[in-house]
Amino acid sequence: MNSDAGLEGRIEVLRPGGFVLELAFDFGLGVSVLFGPSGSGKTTSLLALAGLVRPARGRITLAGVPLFDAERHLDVPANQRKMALVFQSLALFPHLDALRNVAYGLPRTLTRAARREQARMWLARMRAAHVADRYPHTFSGGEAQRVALARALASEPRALLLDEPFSALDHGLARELGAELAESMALAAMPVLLVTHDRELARRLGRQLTVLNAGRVERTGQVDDGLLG
Amino acid sequence: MDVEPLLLSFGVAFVATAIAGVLGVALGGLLAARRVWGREFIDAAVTAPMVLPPTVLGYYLLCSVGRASFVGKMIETLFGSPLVFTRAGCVLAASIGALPLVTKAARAAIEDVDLRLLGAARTLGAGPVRAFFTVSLPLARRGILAGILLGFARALGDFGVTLMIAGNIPGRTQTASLAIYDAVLSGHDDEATRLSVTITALAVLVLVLASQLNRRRRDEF
Repeated sequence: MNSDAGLEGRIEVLRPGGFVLELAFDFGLGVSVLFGPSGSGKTTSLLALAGLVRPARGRITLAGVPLFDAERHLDVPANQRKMALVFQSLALFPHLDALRNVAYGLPRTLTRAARREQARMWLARMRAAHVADRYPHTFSGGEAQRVALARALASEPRALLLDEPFSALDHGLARELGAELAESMALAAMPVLLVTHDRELARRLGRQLTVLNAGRVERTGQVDDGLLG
Repeated sequence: MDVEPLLLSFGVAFVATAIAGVLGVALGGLLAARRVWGREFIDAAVTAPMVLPPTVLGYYLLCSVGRASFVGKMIETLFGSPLVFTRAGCVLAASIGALPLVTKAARAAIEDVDLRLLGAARTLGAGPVRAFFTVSLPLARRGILAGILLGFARALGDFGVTLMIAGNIPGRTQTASLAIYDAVLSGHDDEATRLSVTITALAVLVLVLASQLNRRRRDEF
């Protein structure tokens, strides 16, 4: 596949409590879905790819650039990997308003005014311009999702990792946001890894599918192969 | 009432709290980071002043910064006056007492910050230092402030260590707690009562402030 632009590698992650994740992957451009029951290692996969959890073995390459290689003792820190991660909890900064949340990931080389301008643009693009001056505890579920996505995309990532991004939303809203997201991701043209256990969402957004179970890849293939059952 | 010891106590407590505040927050942040080697040992060393007898602590300080010690001689050459039996000694004694309170509170408050918020900051391009100052510190500020207030109260009331390394020189190093001791010994019970009541009132005020800061706002959902 598009491994020269994609996210590719093989990792083995040991977690406290004896959980072992073994993941070989080749995520091309566009949405790849990581599917599986809870406790199967989906979140651990994202944390390891983002550089927040260190794998015991293996290597990770993004767009041809090595980010992690246990044998060569290479471990690019999370803040230099240019991989945006949207947590299931969204992890919006509670002490910053929406605008400053989004501006947080913009390059420090820009002036303050330019960062605010860009943050405003991203909020507008995610249809959340109306919450710019508000703090996260006042957001509705949908607004929080939009701000979190705006913040992730504004940081100009080379890959986007989404952990159950719509789990807090009711079904209709999740679909609406999913459709919008599909659009903006097509624009972004980068590897997007989507963790979900929503079959419908997986079918609609995903191209490639990896099914995890108990820390191992159970199946892998195209979304329309009927792998989702 | 002789206010000079009270004023000295407050001055010393302010400076000592500033020192212990900066040092304690830095240490608390370091101890909350999980990749620091020997962090439980550092924690124990910082906490020791809370459990050691003041005389032991004072003795150690005399040995390490006294006029005969290497550090003491360096200080005397650099500043032209020794540290021991001066107001600087009072500040050192008070800082040592306040430091564990600030450090403990800062560590707990910083460890309490949701790791996912720090993770988000990291993936958004923030290095550990920027993440500390823009995420950990602002979110831990209430707990840290509460620790600083407790540290201030502790610095205000130090007796043993101050006596050991700063002496009890009226008008120079005699803080309120030492003045109370002197007043009792020399039979000036009225003076002792006045100073004691003043100190008590101020300490209670500080504790009330600290608990106000520590209390989570329950009306916030």
